[in-house]
Amino acid sequence: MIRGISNLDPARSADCFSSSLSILGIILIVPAMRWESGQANMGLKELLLTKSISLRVVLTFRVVVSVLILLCLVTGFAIVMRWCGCEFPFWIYIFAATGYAIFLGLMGLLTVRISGSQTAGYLSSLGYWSLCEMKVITEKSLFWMFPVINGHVEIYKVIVLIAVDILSISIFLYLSNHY
Amino acid sequence: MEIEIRNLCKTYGTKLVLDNICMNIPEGMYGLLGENGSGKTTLMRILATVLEPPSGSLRIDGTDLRMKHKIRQVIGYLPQDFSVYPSMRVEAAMDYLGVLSEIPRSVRRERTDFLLKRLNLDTERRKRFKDLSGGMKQRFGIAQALLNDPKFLIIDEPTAGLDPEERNRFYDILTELAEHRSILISTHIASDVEAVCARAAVLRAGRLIFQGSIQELVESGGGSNLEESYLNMIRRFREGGAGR
Amino acid sequence: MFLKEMKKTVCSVVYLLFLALMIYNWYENFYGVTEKEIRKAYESDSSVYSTVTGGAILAEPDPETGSYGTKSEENPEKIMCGGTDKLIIEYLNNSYATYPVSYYKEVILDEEEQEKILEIIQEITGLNEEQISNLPDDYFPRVNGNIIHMESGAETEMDIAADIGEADVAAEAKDYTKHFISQVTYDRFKELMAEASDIIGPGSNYTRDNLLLYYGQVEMDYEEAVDEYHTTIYDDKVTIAFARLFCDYLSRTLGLYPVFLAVAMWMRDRRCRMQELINVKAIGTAKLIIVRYLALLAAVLIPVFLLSLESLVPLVEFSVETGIEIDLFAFAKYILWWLLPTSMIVLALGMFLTILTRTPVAVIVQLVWWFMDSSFTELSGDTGLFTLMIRHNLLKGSELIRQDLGIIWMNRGIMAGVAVLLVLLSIVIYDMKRGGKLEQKNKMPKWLGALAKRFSISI
Repeated sequence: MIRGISNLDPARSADCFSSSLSILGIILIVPAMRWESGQANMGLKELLLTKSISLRVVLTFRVVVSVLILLCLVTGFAIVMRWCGCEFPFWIYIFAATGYAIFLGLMGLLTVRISGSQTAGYLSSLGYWSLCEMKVITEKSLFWMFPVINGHVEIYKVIVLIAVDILSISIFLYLSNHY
Repeated sequence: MEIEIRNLCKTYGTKLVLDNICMNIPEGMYGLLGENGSGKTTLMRILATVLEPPSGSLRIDGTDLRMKHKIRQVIGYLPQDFSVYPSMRVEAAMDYLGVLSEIPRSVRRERTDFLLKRLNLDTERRKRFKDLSGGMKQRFGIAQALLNDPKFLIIDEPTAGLDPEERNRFYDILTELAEHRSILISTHIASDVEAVCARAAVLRAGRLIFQGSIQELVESGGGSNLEESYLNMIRRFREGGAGR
Repeated sequence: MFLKEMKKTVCSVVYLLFLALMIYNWYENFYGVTEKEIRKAYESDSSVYSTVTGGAILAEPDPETGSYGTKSEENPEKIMCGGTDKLIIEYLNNSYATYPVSYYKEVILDEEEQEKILEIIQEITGLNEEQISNLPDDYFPRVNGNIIHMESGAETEMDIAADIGEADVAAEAKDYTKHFISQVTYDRFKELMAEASDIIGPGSNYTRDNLLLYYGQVEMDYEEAVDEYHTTIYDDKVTIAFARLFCDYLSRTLGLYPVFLAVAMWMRDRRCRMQELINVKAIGTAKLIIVRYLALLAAVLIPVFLLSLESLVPLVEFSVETGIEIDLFAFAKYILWWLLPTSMIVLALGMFLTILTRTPVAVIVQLVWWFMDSSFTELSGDTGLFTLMIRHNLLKGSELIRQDLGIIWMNRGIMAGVAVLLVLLSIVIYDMKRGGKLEQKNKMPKWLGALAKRFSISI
């Protein structure tokens, strides 16, 4: 409806993945800690922290499920794009888009955990996304995290994205079991 | 200072939570007893102008409850479940709530100092609200309710979660404060009411089954103390007995 | 109370993030532009605006330079040549590039529609279908607006052409089968392009604005460059030009991020379980809402005023050194008429929807509005009655603002007016909720089921 997905070349396909599909990461991952975040929900968090199944396991499960749903949605959309005649390396783009969406989601989730505010979480993720949309953060920028530039997969960007994702999830899981 | 309630009814959907309540609350400590779900909190919230009474007449010192701005100037309310911005300091929170009570700055400062001292929170004034103990939070609740020097204080389940010592201390403070104002305390702990209140009312399933002095309540229930009489009364009502 | 509410807003993580995003956006787009333009006036360094427009705006044009940038001019020959060239390329590929919502969208036409496009091309060029499919390589100029023909051997062919005698070249130039010569008048051409645009759909290359943008650029001459310079120095008094660009960039952030501040403020009372304590206090609802709203507005705009100093201070120094008069209050004026209404409406909408629904749905609503507004508004000179973010991504071009002044004032008035209306509605709704009047009515219908719970996300 909003943008065409017919017969796109690799560069334009990458643009579609990075700007439209990435929002799914924000929608699916940022709310993972909705009920346990903030000072006002300390009672609930205390209850959960004292159970035999740790809160860390619960949150890991939520994030994993979110990522799986994300992967399904991104793959489904990639299939539709291919069917509409778009040209791009299929699995590489799916991997890149999923990794990037996870990055956006984790950015928000970490912000929620640290600040205790869901609004701050959404602002951090949507803020970054909007800066990319406004071309304030461009493909040439150090902060550009999507690993496909001008239709070419940049290996060093892939490594950075994976590293950032792993680091973010590690910090989040470390903090999640702490009061 | 007198609070008059006439023919008050309140429903939530199809459920009748307050059924034709008529009562008078005079000056002094007044207890509101009832089981969980009897309608105590709903009545308190209506008196605090948080809920709209669909029918009936309520007057606080002659002023109709519908004149909310005027009423809010003369009441103080401590809800059952409340909190304050967690990272706000006690002093700042008192000041902020004082601003919302439209109290001039000099009066606000004076009263904050007085109330924090009186409620033994003076040493905690720089502490953040989230760092206070349960008893301190309750005392803060009372302090903020008294900021505007209200004629009518409404306190909903004030001693939930407090240890016996804290409870006694709490009621001592309230007794002192009741000298020139009406204080309505809702609780399901009959012994608390017996200890501090002169008069009480009993709610059961939204209906007023008793109102009068503590002595009358004990006699009416046929028990040796208020708790026994109160339980007898509830049981009697459950079995179909008439209320007073 | 105003100071307390401001302190509450400013000392929050959401505000810090808002500030960080705004400052980063400003830094990447506007920081240093003024200094570079001033330096260009003295030395040879320049900002991208100077490079694009062919010279620094603060430097008096030099008659020796020869290049003074470009201006937009409706040159019929160039536009017809460029537009037709593009249409033929897209027709032959049956792939038409459109940007209906700023994103690229490829349009493929069916047989009937392609036929219609062919008829348009035939009428313009006077050629038949076979000739159109087999145009000579040099039929159109090698550089034709935004089209560059990269055929191999082009240089060779042009050398051969140079060996042909003058009379032969002149004869060839008049042959419409060898080089593009429009067979229609410019008015008819515009009609045909409008028809093509209708067939292809919105955002095509054949709208009047796009034809002008791609093919209507001509070199400015010295006199025109001097006029442009005088407009900047005497009409714009220097600072207005920079104030416009500053507001252009800041409007994009103020069109979205403040909604988060409004949502956070109004969700915080409920999240912290402080709602009842506040509701029973004597303060009037109108006072509470208005003071909080003004506190948010101040928190949003004070950093904007501070950021403007980065440009204003060097311009003041420039004025002192050169004796050129500047408008000291240009930034303040532009921030107030350009950015204030945008901030007002974003905050008011955020506040109203949060009070009404007790959910952060305002974020989604504002995000959609911001996105649509960004997509449908051109970079300059495209203000409509309901444009959220006025754009003017140029240091020059004050005539674009002047010609749209009426619409701009109406637009700003509407934004501010609707913002005030939303604040009033917020007061009404909050007062009703405060007294418990909307308690029953606020319940979601049961048939919404799990969806009803979705609308009561606690944030």
